[in-house]
Amino acid sequence: MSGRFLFVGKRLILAVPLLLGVVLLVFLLLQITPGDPARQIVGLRASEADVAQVRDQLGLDDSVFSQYARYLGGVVQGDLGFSYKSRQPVADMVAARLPVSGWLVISGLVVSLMITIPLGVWAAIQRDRAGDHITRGVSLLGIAMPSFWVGLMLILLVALPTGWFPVGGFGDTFGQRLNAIVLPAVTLGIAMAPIQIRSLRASIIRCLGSDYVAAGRALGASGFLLVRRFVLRNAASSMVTLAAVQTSFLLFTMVVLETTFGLPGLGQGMVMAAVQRDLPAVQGYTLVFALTVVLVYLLADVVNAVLDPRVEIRG
Amino acid sequence: MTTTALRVHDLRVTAASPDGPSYPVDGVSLHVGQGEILGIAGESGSGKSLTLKAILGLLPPGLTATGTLQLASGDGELAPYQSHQVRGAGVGMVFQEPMTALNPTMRAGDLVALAARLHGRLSRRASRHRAVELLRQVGVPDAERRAKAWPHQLSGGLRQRVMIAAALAAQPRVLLCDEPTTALDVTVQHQILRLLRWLADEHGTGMIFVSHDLPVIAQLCDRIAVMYAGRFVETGYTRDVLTHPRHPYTAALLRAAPSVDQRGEQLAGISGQPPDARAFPAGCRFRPRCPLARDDCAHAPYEIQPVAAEHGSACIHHADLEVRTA
Amino acid sequence: MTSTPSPPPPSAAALPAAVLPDATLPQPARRRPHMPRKFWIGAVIVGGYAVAALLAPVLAPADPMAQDVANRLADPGTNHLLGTDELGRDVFSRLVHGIRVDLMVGFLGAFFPLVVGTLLGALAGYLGGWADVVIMRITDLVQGFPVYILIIALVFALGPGIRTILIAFTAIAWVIYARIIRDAILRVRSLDYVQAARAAGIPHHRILLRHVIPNTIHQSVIYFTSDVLFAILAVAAFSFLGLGVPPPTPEWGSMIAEGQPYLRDQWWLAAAPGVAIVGIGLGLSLLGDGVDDRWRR
Repeated sequence: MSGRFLFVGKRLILAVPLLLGVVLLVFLLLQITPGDPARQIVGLRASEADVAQVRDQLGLDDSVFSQYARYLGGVVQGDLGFSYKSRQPVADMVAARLPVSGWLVISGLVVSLMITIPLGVWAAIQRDRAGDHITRGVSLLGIAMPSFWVGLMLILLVALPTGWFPVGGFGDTFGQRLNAIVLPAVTLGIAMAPIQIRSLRASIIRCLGSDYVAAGRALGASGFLLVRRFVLRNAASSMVTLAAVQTSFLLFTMVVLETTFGLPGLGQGMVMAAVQRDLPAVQGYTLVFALTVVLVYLLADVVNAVLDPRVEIRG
Repeated sequence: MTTTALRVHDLRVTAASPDGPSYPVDGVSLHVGQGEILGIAGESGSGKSLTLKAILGLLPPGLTATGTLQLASGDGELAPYQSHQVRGAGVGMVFQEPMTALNPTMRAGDLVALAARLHGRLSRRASRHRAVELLRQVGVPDAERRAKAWPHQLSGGLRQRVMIAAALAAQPRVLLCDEPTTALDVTVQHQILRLLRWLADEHGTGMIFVSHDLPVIAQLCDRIAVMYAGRFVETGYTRDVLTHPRHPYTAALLRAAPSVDQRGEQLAGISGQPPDARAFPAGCRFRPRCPLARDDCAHAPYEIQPVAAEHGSACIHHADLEVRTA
Repeated sequence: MTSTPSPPPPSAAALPAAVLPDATLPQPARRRPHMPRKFWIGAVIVGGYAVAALLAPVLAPADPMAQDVANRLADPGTNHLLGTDELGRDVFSRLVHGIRVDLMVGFLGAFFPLVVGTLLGALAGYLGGWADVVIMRITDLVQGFPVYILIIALVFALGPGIRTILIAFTAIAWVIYARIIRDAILRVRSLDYVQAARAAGIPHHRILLRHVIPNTIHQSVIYFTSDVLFAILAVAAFSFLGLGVPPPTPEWGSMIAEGQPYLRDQWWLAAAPGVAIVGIGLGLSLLGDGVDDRWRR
């Protein structure tokens, strides 16, 4: 067990340069974005002196290195700067929007697992028979559908005729919010499921075809016992890895769907900031998303370390 | 000759494909006595592994088997069986790759205990004791501690012993060994062979030992069947077959393994490749690679003819071969 | 029987040495005669879209940019097959011209990474040493990043537009091709018969053509078709968000965004471009899957 803790510790240490790289990249957004941020803040009419003053305040005339050090120092303390548009601290904007995104992602993942697990197992068991072909056809279709379009079609075919769900927006009471998250979550689940299904199918088939499952069958294990003792834990670790790899796509789909359904989450915030050319806000959201991905990778490593006794030698 | 433990008659494995069926195992008959070790020798792709898998009903998807399988019951009478009934009971199997045949997420002792529990309806505690006992029996040193090890923490030889212990948990009459020593280095290989021989002699376990390695078979097996292109081409007592081969293929195999005392190289010495099951040649299937092939070999019917006591060859010119070797 | 019999193998001597001709070289890759049916279905769909893109000016009954505000939001009918949008433009004509935009961005968005990735991967595989280390470290870094979010940030920095999207895609999607080619080169290099070929003085490019390309092309093709699909989906999504192809260029994602406010009464404005995307997406998936199936079995 100590070997595994060592492995996780090593991963934590390895994550540090990656995190620094993420912050650096986000910081570099400022450098590659054309235009003078100070001019953007004070407006076109302001005098050169005002611009110079703001530049001085923001430290834009310092060396790139000290600017990065200052930005990094702020990030470590939870200071993401101030929005050009609302003049609010970006960290506050992120904090206000985080719960909405969190609920959407969690409920979307629940929906996707409800679709994935039965269909993936069914396809694997039915390999090359009707159930497999149906499932594969459906997932091909699912991959080809843009998530935002699926969302609009659900509004058109479900929300509008029944009136059960709002067409957009979030609402104020808990009940309204719960209601508002249903269609976005279903859409997110539909978007995530096809790749998960294919991957679950492949990993179950790989496990079923493995020598150790054959050996288990030779020892007399069959049916549910065989799946539980020989397949599940082995298939699970590859699913966890997939979940980590999918995070980036998940976050992007979340961004798109929050805009589609008018949910005030991080994704909608980022799109609005991008459209309004609000640099600190874009930086802040990018940073939060990037940190999420790094943390999910780390978490996946930890979960795999628990699931798979071999990771200590792989690390 | 002791009582027969397992008998296989006219076993045929069919591979379905859009281009029509093919038969990677094509009419194999064999029998193994109690405490007897039968070696099946042949190149990879000859169908020897599939024969073992068919006996236990572990064929990969897309392959089906026909033929008669009979196993000795409690009173020694042979009775036909369904493969799923003998798994973890009358017939056990040891696989080629101890690296991949042990479930990586299951501790060594748990696997053996599971096998013991599947067979004997033991309690969790009792099965754990039984597992340690079995591990000790197959020569795992410090069995208590090793039972708690993950497969990747064990050496290849120990893993193979764990596999054998798990297979023995059901006290099988017959143990099928699919090249169990190929992946091991020479000294470990020797230990495992000694263990198998001991199991056969002391426990009366019948074994089928599949290998491409003639020296290993010569060292271990009582009888040998040489397999080529889905069929046995020569059968008999190991000593008879290896000293007086009566099929050109056996002779070629022997030539590839320079000395029976040394561990042979792979069968690199034989020209060409074994034929694909989808394109077996008509007549004698060894004909395209056979140095002694004649015109009539192309229509030779397949039949193992007796050439001496308990010694059979499928070569229609086996008599000539005898003259040449004499 | 535990003692080892040591039979002299007289029979072996009887076999002439001519039994053993030179070992034939193993075939680098096995080819199957038939592509599965789904490959052809996919090919027909993608081909149909490509032809429609070429013939867009002929197929489209009207100018996709021509506004007719008096006739805005018209129902589908004989004049306008799919009605008109909020500016009175003919939706069917915009849909057909949209094929050109989306297909081009999708194709180029997958083609540039293929070229860049193959070159860098070949460089890493053939040069080895520090070039290999540096290039592979970069691929690690890119793969550890949230790529789509990175694209949003890049689009923000470089300004929206097709050029930006292509740059962002290339910067991110080259990684997989680099890995495929590099791994294949390393694998092929270590094979006996390739070393034999090199010892025999066969030049590098011949080895590359004969052994590396046939072993990797199907993988690259599978990734390429799925990258074209993802590029199309992504450009549509970015345009939907207002960060992609700027108006008034006819593009499916922005057409869906323009149709969203009229979902209740003119639902086809949002539905039709989506169907167009699903169609090309299915075609590409079937194509890639067909190649995958053929090479895997």
